[in-house]
Amino acid sequence: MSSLGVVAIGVTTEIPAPRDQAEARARMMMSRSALLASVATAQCCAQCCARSCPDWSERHGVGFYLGVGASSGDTRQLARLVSRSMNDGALDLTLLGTKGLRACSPLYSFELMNNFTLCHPAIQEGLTGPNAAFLSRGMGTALALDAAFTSEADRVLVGGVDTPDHPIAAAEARRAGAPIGEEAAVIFALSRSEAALARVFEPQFWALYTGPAPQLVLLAGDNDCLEECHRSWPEARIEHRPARRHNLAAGPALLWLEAVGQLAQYQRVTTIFQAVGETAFRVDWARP
Amino acid sequence: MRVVITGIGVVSSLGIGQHPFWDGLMQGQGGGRPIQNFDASAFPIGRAAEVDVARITPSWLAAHTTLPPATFSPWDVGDLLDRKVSFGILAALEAWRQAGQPDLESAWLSLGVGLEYARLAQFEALLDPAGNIDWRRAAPQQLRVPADRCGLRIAELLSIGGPQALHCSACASGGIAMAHGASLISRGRARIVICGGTDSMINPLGLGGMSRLGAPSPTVCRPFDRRRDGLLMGEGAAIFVLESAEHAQARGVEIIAEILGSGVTQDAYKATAPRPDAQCSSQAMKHALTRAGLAGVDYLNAHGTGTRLNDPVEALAINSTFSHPPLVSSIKGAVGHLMAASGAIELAACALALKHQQAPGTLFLEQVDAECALPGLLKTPQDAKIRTAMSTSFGFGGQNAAVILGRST
Repeated sequence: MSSLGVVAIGVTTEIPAPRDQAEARARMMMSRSALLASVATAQCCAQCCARSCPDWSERHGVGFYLGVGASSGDTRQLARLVSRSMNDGALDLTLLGTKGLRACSPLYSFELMNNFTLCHPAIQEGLTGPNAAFLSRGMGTALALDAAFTSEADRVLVGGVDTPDHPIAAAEARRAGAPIGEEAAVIFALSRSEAALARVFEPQFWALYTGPAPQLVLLAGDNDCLEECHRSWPEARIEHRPARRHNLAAGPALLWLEAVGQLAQYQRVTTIFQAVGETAFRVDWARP
Repeated sequence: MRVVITGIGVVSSLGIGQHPFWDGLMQGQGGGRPIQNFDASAFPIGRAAEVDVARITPSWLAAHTTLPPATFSPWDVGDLLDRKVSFGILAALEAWRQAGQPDLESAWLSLGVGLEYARLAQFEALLDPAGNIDWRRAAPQQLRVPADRCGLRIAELLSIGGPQALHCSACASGGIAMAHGASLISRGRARIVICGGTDSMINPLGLGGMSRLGAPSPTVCRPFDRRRDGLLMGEGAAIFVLESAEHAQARGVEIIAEILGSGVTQDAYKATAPRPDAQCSSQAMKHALTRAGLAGVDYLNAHGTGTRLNDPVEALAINSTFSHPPLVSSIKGAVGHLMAASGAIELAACALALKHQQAPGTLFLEQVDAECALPGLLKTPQDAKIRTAMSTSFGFGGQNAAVILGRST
């Protein structure tokens, strides 16, 4: 099974103040997810350079694959659009086409496009290589990692970025009875030729429980998955993380982050992730 | 491993199916009509290349799929309101049937999809007595139709058992989905991939947002014309069955075309404009040519949106990529800009061009802008010797995709 080296990891669960006016202006067009992605990607790229990895100072041609959530554009603008479009308590398309639309910024559409969660950090860091944004309820983030293994680029950034800090997302999670996850952006820098922190193996979408027995399994899955892990690997330590099963793009990436942290103690860690209502997938991590 | 196309399904303003699509392009039809699926009379733009159905119902779907209406009874009302769900279903079924209805238990889905659909009428219930939105009232409401409903419904209908890759890369989604699907097969990750794109932004928020950007033309879409003043919003879907050549031959099905190569890059320039030197968009085309082992192609289906910014940059990219200029046209004047599905439907045009040995024209192109001078630019459809065809897509945010198809041998 092929593997890639993990060179650096950028992770953020909050948004710091802008460093200067230029950054403040750039942020005006960003959704919350795009902001999180930009912060974590900058962190990850800076780490690569700090590790004296010579190839990472030049980012032309670096690949970029992200699991992204639904759009997280500014709901205040949406609220203004709806409020200005109401007539006697009902939505009025005539008012929407005139007053409602004028209540929004002309650039509001760019905030709603969820590919900008990838595009804004790409612009910020000069990432011109192959790229794709996968709509994710977990599986998309795994497919972003999978895409890294088939990418033409030798160096790629891969991760998951999402936020429930959006009233629509929170309302729908409550409606679906799914746990509400945490806001996060986690970006891994991967390379075919370097491995500073870990090695990551190709995601597995079938035959999850075969192969060499892992030492540690981090599982975000249902009880069937848990039983299957115990049955397949009776000697392994299995740590269940049911709270990670929320339907946000950052979920798998947060589990992977934990896996890398465990490599100080374990030679090899297996992660199995299954968002609510989705099939499970497996990613293995090993010491460099 | 060679990657081939064995099924194509298309839904567009020219009709349901690949035949009305191709016949319409060859006859110079299209160009948009007054919007009928909602009252757009007060909107800045009231025309679009809309699929000819005002309201999608289970019986309408049954009539066009030849499946019983009960098939669509479990659908949530949101699935019917979000038109791209239905368009994806129709196109996927057509492609699957043409490919001989293969077993898709281990197949993957790689689909370009547009934004989630906002059910604005549901927001009415969120207003407090003062007329402000009170989000605490949102708990029992479903305020948007998630974009992954397209993938879920297609997978359910065709019993697709593998992973679902849903690409949200704006106008480059369809092209990137096709490139991704091809790579899954060429690298042995999948034997069959259902691949393509589906989108509809012809709804109040979609049309309103684009109008607010100033993107749509108030008249007609004229790609590469010196009088061009914007795009034509379109809707629809194009879905393909991709498989390895060996797998297709073993099944004894007709091979329509072959995917020879692809290239994907990112401008990394500005959120609101393409890179003016066209370096990265040209690079996407060059990568595709290199991977296909080609120096050029016979026909190029351009992104050609008809906007002031896009067309000259694309012309520069094409002229700087090809030493022998290909025939070039854009079909966006005819079927509109299908957004996340544009790359896919334009690849369908390429595949059908290879099959019929004809190239579509560029509807409403009359006076070529000097900034957009392309030696092979076609105003009207014509017969042509086409062995290879490229489709290019350049998305909002700077994502670029180029995919090359070759004639079935």
